Amino acid sequence: MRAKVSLLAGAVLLLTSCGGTVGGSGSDDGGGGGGGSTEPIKIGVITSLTGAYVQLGEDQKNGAELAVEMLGGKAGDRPIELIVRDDQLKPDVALREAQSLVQEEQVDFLTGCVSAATTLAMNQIASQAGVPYLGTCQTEQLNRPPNFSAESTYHLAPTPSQTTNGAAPFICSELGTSVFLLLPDYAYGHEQEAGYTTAIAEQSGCRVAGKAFFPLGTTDFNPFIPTIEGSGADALVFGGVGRDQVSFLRQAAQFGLTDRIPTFLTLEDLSFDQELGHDLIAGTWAMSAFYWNVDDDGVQKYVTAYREAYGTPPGGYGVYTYNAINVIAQQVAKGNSSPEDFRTAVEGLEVTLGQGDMAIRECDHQALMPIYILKGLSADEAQSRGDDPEFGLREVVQTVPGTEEYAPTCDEVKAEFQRVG
Amino acid sequence: MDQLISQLVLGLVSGALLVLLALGLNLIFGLLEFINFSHGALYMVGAYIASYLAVATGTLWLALLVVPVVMAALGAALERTVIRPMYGREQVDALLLTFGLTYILIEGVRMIAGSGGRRVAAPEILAFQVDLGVGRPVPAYLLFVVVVVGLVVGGLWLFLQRTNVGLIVRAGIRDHEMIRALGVRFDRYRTLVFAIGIAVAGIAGVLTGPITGVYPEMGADILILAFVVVVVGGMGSFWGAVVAGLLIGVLVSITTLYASIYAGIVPFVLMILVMTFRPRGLLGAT
Amino acid sequence: MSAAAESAAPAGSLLEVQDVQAYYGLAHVLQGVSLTVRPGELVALLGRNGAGKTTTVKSIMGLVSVRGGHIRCAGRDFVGLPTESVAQFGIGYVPEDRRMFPGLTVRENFRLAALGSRLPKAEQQAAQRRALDVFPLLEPHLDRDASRLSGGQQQMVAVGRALICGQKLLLVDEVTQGLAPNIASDMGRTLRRVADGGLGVLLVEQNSQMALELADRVYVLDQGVVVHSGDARELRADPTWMEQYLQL
Repeated sequence: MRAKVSLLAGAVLLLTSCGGTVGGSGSDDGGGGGGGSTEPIKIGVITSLTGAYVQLGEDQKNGAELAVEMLGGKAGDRPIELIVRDDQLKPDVALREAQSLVQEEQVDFLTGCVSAATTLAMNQIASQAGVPYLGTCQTEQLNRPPNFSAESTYHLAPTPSQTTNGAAPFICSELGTSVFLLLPDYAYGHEQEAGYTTAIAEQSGCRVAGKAFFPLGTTDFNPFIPTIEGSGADALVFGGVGRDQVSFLRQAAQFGLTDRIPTFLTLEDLSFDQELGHDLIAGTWAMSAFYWNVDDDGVQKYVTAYREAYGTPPGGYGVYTYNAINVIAQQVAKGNSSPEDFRTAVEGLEVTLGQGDMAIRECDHQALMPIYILKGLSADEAQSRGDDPEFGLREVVQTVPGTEEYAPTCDEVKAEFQRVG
Repeated sequence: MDQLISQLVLGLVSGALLVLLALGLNLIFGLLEFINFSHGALYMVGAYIASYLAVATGTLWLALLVVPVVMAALGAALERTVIRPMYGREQVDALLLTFGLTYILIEGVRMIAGSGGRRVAAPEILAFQVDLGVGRPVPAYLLFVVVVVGLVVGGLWLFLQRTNVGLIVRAGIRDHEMIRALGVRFDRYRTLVFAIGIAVAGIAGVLTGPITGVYPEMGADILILAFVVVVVGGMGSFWGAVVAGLLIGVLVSITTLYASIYAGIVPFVLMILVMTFRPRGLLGAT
Repeated sequence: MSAAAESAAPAGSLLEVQDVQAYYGLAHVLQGVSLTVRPGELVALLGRNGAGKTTTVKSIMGLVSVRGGHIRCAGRDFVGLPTESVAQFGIGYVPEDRRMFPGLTVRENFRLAALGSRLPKAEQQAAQRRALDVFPLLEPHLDRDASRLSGGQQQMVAVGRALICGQKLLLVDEVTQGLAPNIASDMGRTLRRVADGGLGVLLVEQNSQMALELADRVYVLDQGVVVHSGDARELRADPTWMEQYLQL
């Protein structure tokens, strides 16, 4: 019933106010997005509340809800209505939920995702409906042809190549010059392969000694151990996420592999770290676009509020939805709630939010933010740092600035768009 | 060569755990005539019980003794209550039932233990590496796993071959109508065999804990592989399951070395080859 | 006497099947079968393929569900009892296709039957011994896989097995099928001796000639009904009825 009423209301609004909306939009904010409107602003969050990356999904849900709470539930004068859905880490479910949010709930904005597969499904629905979608997971494909829609696609998480470009100089200068890549056999792993292969080749004297792929959700990593050691590599990059990290590091530790070969994890998250514990983490290295004890006002404001609300510091994925909600709310408060106005305002936007300073560049709506290189600490080391040993599993040893140097440049991006047409 | 031997040894370890699951599946399929889809989830439950016992007692030893007993009791209770009414019905009924059971068990564990995983420490006394003379040194715990699996397989074999109950089970796998016509009260042996199958899965769960940790979905992937092992080895064939389990473990391990990207499909390629050219399985009866 | 008229059980009967109705799915296979077997008596059940002979035996064993009538033995009605309970009353069953368990040795087959027999431990040994005394030819093959023996030897295992748990009555379905004539007649003589030893034997047989020579009494089934019954000796003297009922 409510859906019908809002559909009717939306239609009436569309008919009465001719300005503002871009054709084909199913959103009901109409053109009346000025500061005086008190119409609720509806934001849909679709993330993985079940499935292999449930910790990341819950972090995203928490991040989004926290943002709304910290904003007092309002974007300017407009109440924020947050609708959170579970995509079960499945593209078809993400597609269905996105459709439901766009058509039935008539959301004004969409955000969320922990995997490339679901983000593309959501982006497809959002761009068809002209609803802005702010992607929150690491993928190379979201803001590249044919997926990128200049009207509605935004990417607030780093692309894998941003991270691999940031990591390669550190790996080659600090860990070893002969690198083995052990990567998950799905889009994210292959994106890493491309990224690392290019970036490592650019470091002088550094090479990829070998690579192997493992299926997502591999439990048995034992057969990979002699493969890695036999390659003669003196550094190892592990690209798996979540449970794969835990399984691998446990088995590698039994062989003493991580003692002999410095190991670097492409994607750190506090939830994985906690499952690993100090003894497995100590002596390993990792990378993240967010770490909870980074000394930055924006970061600490978010972390403090998060700890108050949920009892633990946030992981690396909640900050993306936290940022997304904040970006949306800021623009809505300024009256930029139509997709058109939102786009104009956000292109080139520089804000300070949960990851500190962040810029959303104009050419591909990619957010540029710092990448942190993290060192795993033993329990004793953590104690001596004065952090809570429970959460202070790592420390930042290097910060890669969020500049264009580490991302594909806008010229490269434009060339790619032209090539595809 | 050294490298190849290392891969082979580790393949045997992976295969050994598969063997335990496949043997239970095979026994249950043979005697109860349905595919126990919940086998993987019960393996997971065993692993979780072990993880809590290990924390409570500080060692895995007790879990290795207690978990099989607890799982056998759980298996017997399940057979007596929800599984028994499925006999004589369509295969798909039992399949759906155990499928549902799987979800209940996984969700139940998520509710009690959370959706994140739990770590299980290997026994302190096994925290060293063994130099086999060839290839890389191997963690002692992995060799211990192989030894335990060997003992369980041997014990199960002796039980089936040497005891009266084992005789009834072997006969029942071939023709349960006929053993009933000889006066054997068959129902109680179905309960027993289900209990044994689940107990063996529980042992596999205990052993897996220190290797990969435990988590609610741990049974899903290994269950599929265990099915493949049963098909490749031959439905109802004891040594077929053992040979196919080890073979698949070794093949996956060696493929990892040369072309890791194909390692995941090796078991399925093997299964298709076997189904096409030798449908009764490597050691299956005609 | 006609089948329909037979109502009261003859004195001293071991097995009494009375007006049994049985179905396979919707097919009404047994439409009121009645017969009796007395101790020490070999009763032959004759009829064409599909007449319901095997179904009659399976009904007694509880292997097909009976929807009407009575099957009485030792003061109990078997209708609705599970197969293993029927067997434990001392009924030995030799199924149509021998039903060896692949992988089990002859010795194991016998042990299995002894386990099912509910006999005390000591008597289980004796029962297995007696079965071997009946079939001394099996002695050298005790540790061989029974399913790999010759057809005649397999049949001996099947009958021997049935003798171990069947202390009162043997139900023998098509025991000579596929056997060489001399082996078949050996088996027939053995069954006759078993009956002479005091057991009731109900024999389903395709070879009517042989059955008539062995049996004390004969029932002829057609389309699920007993169409004729009588004393074997009398029928042997009257070759015309065979043509009439069996169309041989």
